[in-house]
Amino acid sequence: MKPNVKKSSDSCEEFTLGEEALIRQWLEYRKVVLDRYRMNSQQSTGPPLSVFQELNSHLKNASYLAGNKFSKADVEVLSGLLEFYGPQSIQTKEKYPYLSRWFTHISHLSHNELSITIPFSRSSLY
Amino acid sequence: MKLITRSNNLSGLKVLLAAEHLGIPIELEVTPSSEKTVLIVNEDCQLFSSNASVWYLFSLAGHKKINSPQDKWLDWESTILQPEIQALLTKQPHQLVSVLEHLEKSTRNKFLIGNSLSAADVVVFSSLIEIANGKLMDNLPNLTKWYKQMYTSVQFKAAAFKMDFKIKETHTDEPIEEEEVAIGQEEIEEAVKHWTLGNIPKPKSIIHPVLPVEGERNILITSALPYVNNFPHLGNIIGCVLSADVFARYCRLRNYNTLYICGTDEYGTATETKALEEGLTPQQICDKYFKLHDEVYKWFDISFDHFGRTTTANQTKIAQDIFLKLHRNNYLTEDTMEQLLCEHCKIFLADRFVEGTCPLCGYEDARGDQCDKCGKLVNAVELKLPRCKMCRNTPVTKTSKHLFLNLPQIEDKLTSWMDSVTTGWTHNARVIANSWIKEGLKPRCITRDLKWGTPVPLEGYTDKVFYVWFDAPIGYLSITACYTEEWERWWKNREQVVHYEFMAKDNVPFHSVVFPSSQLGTHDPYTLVNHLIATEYLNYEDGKFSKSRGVGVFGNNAQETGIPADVWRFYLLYVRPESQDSTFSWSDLMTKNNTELLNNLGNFANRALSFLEKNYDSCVPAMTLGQEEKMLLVRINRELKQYISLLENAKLRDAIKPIFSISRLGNQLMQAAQPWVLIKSTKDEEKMRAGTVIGLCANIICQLSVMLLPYMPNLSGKLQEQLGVTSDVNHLIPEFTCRLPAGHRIGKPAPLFQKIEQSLIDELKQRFSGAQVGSAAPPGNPAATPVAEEAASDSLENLALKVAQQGDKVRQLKAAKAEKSIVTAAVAELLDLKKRLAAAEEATKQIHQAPPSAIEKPTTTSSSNDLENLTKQVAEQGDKVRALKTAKADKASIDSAVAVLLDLKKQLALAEGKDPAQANPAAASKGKKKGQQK
Repeated sequence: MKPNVKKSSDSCEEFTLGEEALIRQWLEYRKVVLDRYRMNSQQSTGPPLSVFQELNSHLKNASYLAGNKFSKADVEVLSGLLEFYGPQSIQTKEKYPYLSRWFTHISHLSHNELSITIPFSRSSLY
Repeated sequence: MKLITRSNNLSGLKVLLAAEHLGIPIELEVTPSSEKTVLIVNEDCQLFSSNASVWYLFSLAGHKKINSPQDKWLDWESTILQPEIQALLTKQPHQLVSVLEHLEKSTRNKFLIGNSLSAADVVVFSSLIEIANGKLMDNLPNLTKWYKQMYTSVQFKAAAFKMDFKIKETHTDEPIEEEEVAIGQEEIEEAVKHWTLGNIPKPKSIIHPVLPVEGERNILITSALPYVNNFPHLGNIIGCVLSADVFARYCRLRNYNTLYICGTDEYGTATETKALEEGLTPQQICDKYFKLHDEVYKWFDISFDHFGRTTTANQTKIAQDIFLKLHRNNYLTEDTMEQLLCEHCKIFLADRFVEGTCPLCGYEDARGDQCDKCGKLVNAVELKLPRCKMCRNTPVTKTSKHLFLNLPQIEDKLTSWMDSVTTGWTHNARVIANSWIKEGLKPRCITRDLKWGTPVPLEGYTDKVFYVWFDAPIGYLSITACYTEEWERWWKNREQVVHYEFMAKDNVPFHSVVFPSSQLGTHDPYTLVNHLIATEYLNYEDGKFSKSRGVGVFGNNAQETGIPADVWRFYLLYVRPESQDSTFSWSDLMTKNNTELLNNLGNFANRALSFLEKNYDSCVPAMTLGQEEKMLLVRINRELKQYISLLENAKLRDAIKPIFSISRLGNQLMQAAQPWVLIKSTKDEEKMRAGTVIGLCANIICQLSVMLLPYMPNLSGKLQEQLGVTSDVNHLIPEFTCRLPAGHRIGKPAPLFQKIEQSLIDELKQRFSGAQVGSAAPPGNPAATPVAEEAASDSLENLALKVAQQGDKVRQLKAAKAEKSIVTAAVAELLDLKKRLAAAEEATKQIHQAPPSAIEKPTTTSSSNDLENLTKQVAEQGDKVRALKTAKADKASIDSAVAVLLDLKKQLALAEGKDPAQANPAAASKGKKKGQQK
């Protein structure tokens, strides 16, 4: 099932000013928070779990990061998160159900660009 | 719209400031519980990023939404400026200077972009608030002007007021000069009266043993006992012994009855470890290192009344007495602990004597206290397959009984005592002590299954010793007891003795809670600490001093640099980490020596005294003070009072300032009056004035020589010799008086300081940076101290050869009956060479004894890992960039991906051992950081 979402994330016409501000916020988040862990990734084990926790709570009642639309914010944060969250175990992912739900969803939406799928099961295996 | 933030939060301030500038009304909720600043626009739009919020407000007010210079600034602020500021505030290496220089170029105009205020100004300005008090912006006139204009704006004041924003104090070396308070006639008369005051009391002659006298000020000073198993580094020296020394010397200047006690702390596991490492007995280790410590402190001219040690009969007697009284008063409880026992070596193994498999990550060579692979703290009994580090046999887990000091039971006594004294403690000491109390006190184990310690005198525990932290502070008492049999007059005399303890902040818990609890628990009237003076940490250049990694200058190295002990003392006190961490820097040492000491103080003294010698035949001329000179007396008195009040509060670093202010006043007097012109004048009153000025200057120098004594005792002596006065002047009173009356004959003036050249500093920087240089190559043997490294650079054979050659030379000189000074110099060189040879032999021994497996294996694997990893990452990132480009992604994402790629490449170059400095200075510093973390 494909949700009814515009894919072109570059044009800003259909976003409200508040949504645009949100998009900017998440782009900044990607650069300032997520990319920092990437720079040092040979030493650090990726972002601390609090980052996952934070994103999880942001996505508790939302399908997308900025407003109720798919946007560049989702793509950027996803690609910044990919190498850290992708390899997490299923148990870990179950701890962040909203983040995991968003993660799967966005990777499907943007599979043209990023072509990855993240296995995630809702049923508790453990 | 609503903004939720905390009161001192910069992000909140940023948003509010934007709103003020734009005239957008915002509901403000200042609550201490809000973790993040949030701008709530509506239910669907809640912004936690302050930059996005500022952008939103500006766009809302009709500013251009798409504005690429503005976006660049916002981006720059969040990705470059902020991280650098955070690095500065958390004492990490940073490039803030070059970042600010970049900003300097952009602040030539009134605003960052065009002719009007934009989001860029608000955002960048708000970030700078945190560092504006420092000196970083001092040489950047455009930036300073731009900042000031923002800072003084009504909008900023309104925003700061609404948020109750207080600007955090950042450390400044030289605060803005306060405006001088007007000098009144009364003050002048007072100063003149004291100036002419005859018969100033002389200093007390010190007769050992110094004892307290009823009705006088009796000051008992202790410095945290340095641990015996290694050389003390500069941080240790400034934190404890040197700080206490300055204070003790000051107290003696004031004629207080002063006792300064210190010694080496010799018991405990670390000594046993070191003994095993060096193949000696613990006693031999203690003897060896006690001597080394003693030599270092002698070289630094530390004026202990007694420098003792903790391995004495008095220690056993007093520690056991305190213990038995605690036991009698029911402050001790019994409990069991699990420990590893090596049945082969027949000892309980301290954590660092055990190796095994990490229970967390499975690494096979984990140590008993920490795993080198995963870095987690490990409990020795939890190690899988544990083995004894000495004999490699498997130890068994044994439960053994131990005694605990029941702190909760003493808590009431402790807290009521603390309430009465902590106002006299340094801020950090108070905070640390209070946080311990707040966390809730727990019983603390005071016994250990070791051999090297004070034996526990209780049935069932006789095979155990006291834990070193129960035992060590009792050393203060026992060392005093070794100094005088009447030690109790100092230590059981709460009413008459004021007790000062000097230490670095890591020692605070034991001196503020554990030791006073043991004292209080005896119910004896022990003298407790009145003033706990704790320093923060001293860092070395950009890193930390590290005994184990051998980074930085150690006590014994200071001597080898050729820089006089007094200059070392002065500089260490100048950077004393009084209220926050500070940094030892070679370049700074050079600057302080060449400007403050040489140009200010040395120049003034030498110029005035030489003039006096040449023109007045070394005799102080008659002085008739005019209004100008009288005003100067007042100014000097003010500085002097400042000096005394700072030192009374043990603000040792701050008290340096008045000394140099007085010296500066003297210099100004010389410069303004120009006695070398006046003396040639034909008018009598002008000639008189020349005499007055030079006589006054000589007296100022005499006053300075007294004030310098706590800091630079040797130099003070030299100066007094040049002034032709005896140590009788060394009594400090709060008024400037004429010590050198007309007719006083001075000695021979000579330069006091030597210039330190850049080349020497470069060489020293190089010499002591050894282990600190970041590189992918395995770092030097952590057991090797800088001495070892330095000595190792001269090979053993080479040194032995040099010793032989120099020996021949000395013999030849003696045979040829050469001049004495030449022979002495040659002998000195020979002795120095011999010492270096001994050090080199010692170093090679240490290197051979250190277990190679623990050091080399992990580093080599991890560095090759790094290399593989990096190569892989570079390849991956390259693919990503290409993919983005083909997909025609927007420019910003391509740029950021390219930046990541470049950075990775640099790191790779670094890991491959290519010169990182050539690649890029930023990459070099990153590499350094990496090196340190290993």
